[in-house]
Amino acid sequence: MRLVVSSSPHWHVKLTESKIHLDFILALIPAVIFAVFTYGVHAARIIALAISATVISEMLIRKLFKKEFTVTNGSAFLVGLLFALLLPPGVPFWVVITGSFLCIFIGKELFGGLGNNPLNPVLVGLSIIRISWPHYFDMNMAAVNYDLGFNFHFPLTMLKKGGTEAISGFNLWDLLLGRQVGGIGAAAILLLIIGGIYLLLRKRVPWETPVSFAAGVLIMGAIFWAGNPATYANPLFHLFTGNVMIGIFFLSTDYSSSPFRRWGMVAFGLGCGFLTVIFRAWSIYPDAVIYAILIMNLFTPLLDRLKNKPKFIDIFYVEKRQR
Amino acid sequence: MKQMKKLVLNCSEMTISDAPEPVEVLIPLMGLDDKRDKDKLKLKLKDGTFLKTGQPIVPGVFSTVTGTVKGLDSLLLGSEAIAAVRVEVSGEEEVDSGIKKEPAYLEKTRIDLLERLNRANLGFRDDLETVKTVIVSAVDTDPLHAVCHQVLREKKEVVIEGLKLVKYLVSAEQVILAVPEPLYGPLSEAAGDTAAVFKVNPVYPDVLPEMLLDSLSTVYDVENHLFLGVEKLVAAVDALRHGKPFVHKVVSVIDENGTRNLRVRLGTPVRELLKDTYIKDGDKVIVGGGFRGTACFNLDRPVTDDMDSIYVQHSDKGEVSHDRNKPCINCGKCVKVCPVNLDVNLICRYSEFSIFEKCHEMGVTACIECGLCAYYCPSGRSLVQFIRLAKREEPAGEEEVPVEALENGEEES
Repeated sequence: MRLVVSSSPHWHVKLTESKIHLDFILALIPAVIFAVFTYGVHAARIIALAISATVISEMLIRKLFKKEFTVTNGSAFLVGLLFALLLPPGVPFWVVITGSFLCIFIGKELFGGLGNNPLNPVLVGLSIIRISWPHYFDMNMAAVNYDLGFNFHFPLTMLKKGGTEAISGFNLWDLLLGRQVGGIGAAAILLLIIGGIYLLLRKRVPWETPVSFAAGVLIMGAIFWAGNPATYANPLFHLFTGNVMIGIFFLSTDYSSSPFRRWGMVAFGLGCGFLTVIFRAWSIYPDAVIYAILIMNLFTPLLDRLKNKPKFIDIFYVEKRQR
Repeated sequence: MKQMKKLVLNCSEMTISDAPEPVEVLIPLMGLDDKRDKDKLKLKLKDGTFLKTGQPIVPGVFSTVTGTVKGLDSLLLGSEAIAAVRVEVSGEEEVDSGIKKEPAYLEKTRIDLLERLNRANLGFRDDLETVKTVIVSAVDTDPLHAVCHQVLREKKEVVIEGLKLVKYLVSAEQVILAVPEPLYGPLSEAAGDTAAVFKVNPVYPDVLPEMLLDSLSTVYDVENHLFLGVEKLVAAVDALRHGKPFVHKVVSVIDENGTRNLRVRLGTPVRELLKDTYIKDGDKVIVGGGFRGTACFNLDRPVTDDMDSIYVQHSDKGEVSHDRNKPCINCGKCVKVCPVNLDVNLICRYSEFSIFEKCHEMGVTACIECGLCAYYCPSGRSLVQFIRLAKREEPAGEEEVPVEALENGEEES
């Protein structure tokens, strides 16, 4: 009889990366359904294209680089799904495919695959696309072919151009229910919150990052609003528009590009929130959540070194044979 | 055996039954090297030498059965190979403990009692004068173990008597009895003035001796303490009062048939306790708990006094876990569960690429090897192994550590 011998511990919770990614995907399902209901086959096309492009490019890259086959861990699927939900409707197919490939190639595989990416892969691909072909990301232009019975102006562009006067037509309840223009899934604010709460309950994401991100948006929004209520919108408007909600729960919580300690997470979330509102107020982009998160990603190694004093337990004398 | 989700220790009643007497025992000769001392031992312990229960074999080790020597063997305990003697049990048990029955032992002098305990191989530390606090732990150290609290439950009076004895022997300022929370009520009443009773949350890793000391140090002064297990205390009372040598040990046996508590003779091979268990290729037999225990090479491993459980993982039920060692995804789970607040993910990556100076800068030596990080790791990384490696690799530029210190560094239970 041959027994298995290994070093302790002899147990494992049987949690794997694939299960974690599956939870993330489940949490995004409501937003996917929303996207397909709102934009019909256009949304379905983008989602299917993006996911197949990320999965296939990861497989090809892994094969080309002669590395272990890891596509089954679901990370490429999740990247494709998130990428698709951030795109506006009516993006041409080649933009979707290029973007998905860049997400996987530059965002993840160049650094060594899952776990080694210093930046959120979704945002890397998306920001390259957005800078290269900015006209596809003009949300007002993207939505020009649709009429779904709600205010078809991108709220943040309106805010940028006309101040609070221009956004008086939007009420917060409509925004919360997703009756706004934006990324096909990123606009479903309430459904993303539900998905986020699911992730929090399953303990797949820490609560510190989302909470401090939201707090950062509210605090900085309130500062601007108090300073000049005619130009700057109220903080809740910031929270319920654009990519903020998907950023709070799904983009800023990417494991390898965000800090792992409590105070690091809080600083990271606050930084994301502050930068989001600052970019909205002062940059040329109406909504620059993705850049805010990317910039904070760069601070992650620094934030990981905050406050890590190990608790030295003085084992004065523990008798080797206690009994 | 189901995987524990919450890591709460089972403190419910679990009756202790007597295991059948062994046919043959293997007695580890602690402190004697497998190779170096074997020739000397061969002269002393010839085959057929008759040994009585409690009769000393070499200094510090006595026979746990009555029988004849059947040969010398070697044994791997933790990382050291030690010599062991095989004794075949024969006939009536003859006790030669060397200590008299003495119901009123507390009237004897301290020195006398300590000498008797030394004779019974239950001696305490030599520097008892410096001890200020005695900590008696009745807390099991693994979610699988159901030993200490059951002993406490069944022999409450003896334990209280033992506390009195310890107080008399050590003349410490404070005697603390650590008990799991469900047993706190009755115990604090029974202990009275003899000892302070300390309530321990029966959740892993709070029950580990190191964590226990840490939580005790917030309330009491634990510098210069003496740490005792409750079983040893009971054995000490039994030895002094009834003249019984310390030959029995309670062990929790966990296999496909569930958990059972057995009172086992020290030195009994694990094989004899697992007679009813179907063990096949690819199974794992673990002694000392699922988190900090050691896996056995074969079933000849004898029961030793520091062993609280025998746990069989069946491969066909998917209980044997294998490390997958995928790259770290930085999820932060290990950092969150670490009881000593280490940056486990960073330390293990440094260790993986042999940058041991960094590991030591981050305080890797504080690790108590509780195993929780590897338990939770979704990438299935061998985190504890990486940490052990880093602990043993001294940072460059420092004095070289003597080999002996390295060997004794590991606290294998």
